[in-house]
Amino acid sequence: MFQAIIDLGLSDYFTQDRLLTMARAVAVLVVGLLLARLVAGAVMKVVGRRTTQQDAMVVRRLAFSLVMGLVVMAFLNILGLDLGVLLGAAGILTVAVGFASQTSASNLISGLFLIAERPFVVGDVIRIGTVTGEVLSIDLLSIKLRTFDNLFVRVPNEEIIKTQVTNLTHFPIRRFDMKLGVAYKEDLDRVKELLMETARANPLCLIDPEPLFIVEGFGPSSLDFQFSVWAQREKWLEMRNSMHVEVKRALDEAGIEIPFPHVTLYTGSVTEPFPVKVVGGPPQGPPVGLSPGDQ
Amino acid sequence: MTNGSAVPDAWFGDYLLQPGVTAFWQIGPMRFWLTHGDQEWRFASLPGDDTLDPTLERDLTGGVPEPPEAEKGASRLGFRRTPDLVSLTPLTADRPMVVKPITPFLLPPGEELTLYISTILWLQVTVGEDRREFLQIPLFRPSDTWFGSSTRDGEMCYALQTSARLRLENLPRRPHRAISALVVRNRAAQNLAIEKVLLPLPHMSLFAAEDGQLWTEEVTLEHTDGRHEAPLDLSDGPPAQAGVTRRIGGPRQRAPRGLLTRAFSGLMGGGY
Repeated sequence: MFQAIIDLGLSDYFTQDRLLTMARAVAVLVVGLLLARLVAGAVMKVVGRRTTQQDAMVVRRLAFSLVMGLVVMAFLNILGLDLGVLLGAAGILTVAVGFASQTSASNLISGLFLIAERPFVVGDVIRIGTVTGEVLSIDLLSIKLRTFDNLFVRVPNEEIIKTQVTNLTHFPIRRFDMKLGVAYKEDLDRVKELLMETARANPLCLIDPEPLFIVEGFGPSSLDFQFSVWAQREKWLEMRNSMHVEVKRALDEAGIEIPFPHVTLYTGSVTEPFPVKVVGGPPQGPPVGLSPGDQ
Repeated sequence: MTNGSAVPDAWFGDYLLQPGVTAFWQIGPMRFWLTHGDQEWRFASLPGDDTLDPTLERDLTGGVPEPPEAEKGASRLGFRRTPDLVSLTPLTADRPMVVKPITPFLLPPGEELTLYISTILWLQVTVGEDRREFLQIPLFRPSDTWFGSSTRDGEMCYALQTSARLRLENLPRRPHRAISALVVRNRAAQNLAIEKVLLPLPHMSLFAAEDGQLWTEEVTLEHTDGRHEAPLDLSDGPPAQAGVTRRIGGPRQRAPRGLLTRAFSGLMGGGY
């Protein structure tokens, strides 16, 4: 009985005309979706030849959204919905949704700023906080990164606007600062010449700008300095690795000591022995002394 | 096994190697082996570290076997039916080269002279009559350098130190290098300090002299008052001292006039 009522109601609603109208609306939607994709692809092809990948991506999205907007309006129109009423309702809805989606709105506006400011583009390698990765896309709400261990990271645009972003691939060449220390007995001029020679022998180290040798001071265990060398952006990692290996080898071959931290226990007097008391052992005589040379 | 080069004693040219044969060449510091395998050509190399090495050796009989340490620089090109023909072709560098005189060089006003500079060559290996490219490799890997007014604006180049010899007979002949004659004219009222010169090697061609020596076009550089850069002009061929030459390779890239002007701004002096 119940089943019969439902059947009766549905068959009353889905008249042949209605079904035809709905089929037309769905067809418009499907064809429109295909058309939007085609138009977006064609626009990307044309624009992509003249602009960057990122600009082409933005233009593609705009073209897609524009065509899809028209298609959705046509879809609703075929279904018989009054667009004027719908737009009026949308105004009220916008206020309500606006309060409910402050974060999304903030991200959206941040996204627009990001696209206009262009601190980085698709394909750049950037560092945000502790995350470093290649920019896959810059969207209205977030940017997508691929980290070097192949993780997908989504960073909200609002966060990017607020925090410091480092673009590692903005300039064509990049410097590597090697922090080093040698023993106090070593001759720094000799060390400098050795390092310069090592950089000259490595084809990935740029001859210009010249490497820099900066003495940083007298450290607790070593004479500390910084040796800075430049490389092409794409070869930076390879250069950094090879320079570590070659500098260590060059210093070893020249007999120059790279010291590790030393701790010297000193009792306050040059000649007095260091008193040692053995606890828990068999009965002992007076404390045993260590001379400074034994420390 | 033949050397199809029209220049006797030159390392470049066409070679016919029978299957199973490993041929050996040493061109300057670079040693390499080419093996004609069953269904492949195999290339293995051992780059040297002495850019002044003048050695030129060749063994097409398999008398110099490939050492195990050459495996690191090896690559293979596979075929259904391997052609017997392999060609070695010299190329200019794939980036411009910044040439710095070892000793700073000054040219007084009104003077003009020619400096002879030798630049490093690249080796291109092609296989078969249709010259399918196997690989390109520098015969000595020069250091990278940056040529520009700042670390933001400029271009990646190779660096080369030169003795900037004034007499051609004083320039040692090395098989892995091509000679460029650089004519410098100082039309300014002050001494001209030649600190570094950018040679646009990708836009230059290679010419072979009768003795097998490789040359590039003559380059003329004229310095006038009030300019830190100097316009650079490429002539049609090497200087007369090269003798009879023939072009053996065109430029890697065509240079439109505008590009040349842009490339040579900030040609001299400066640094950062």
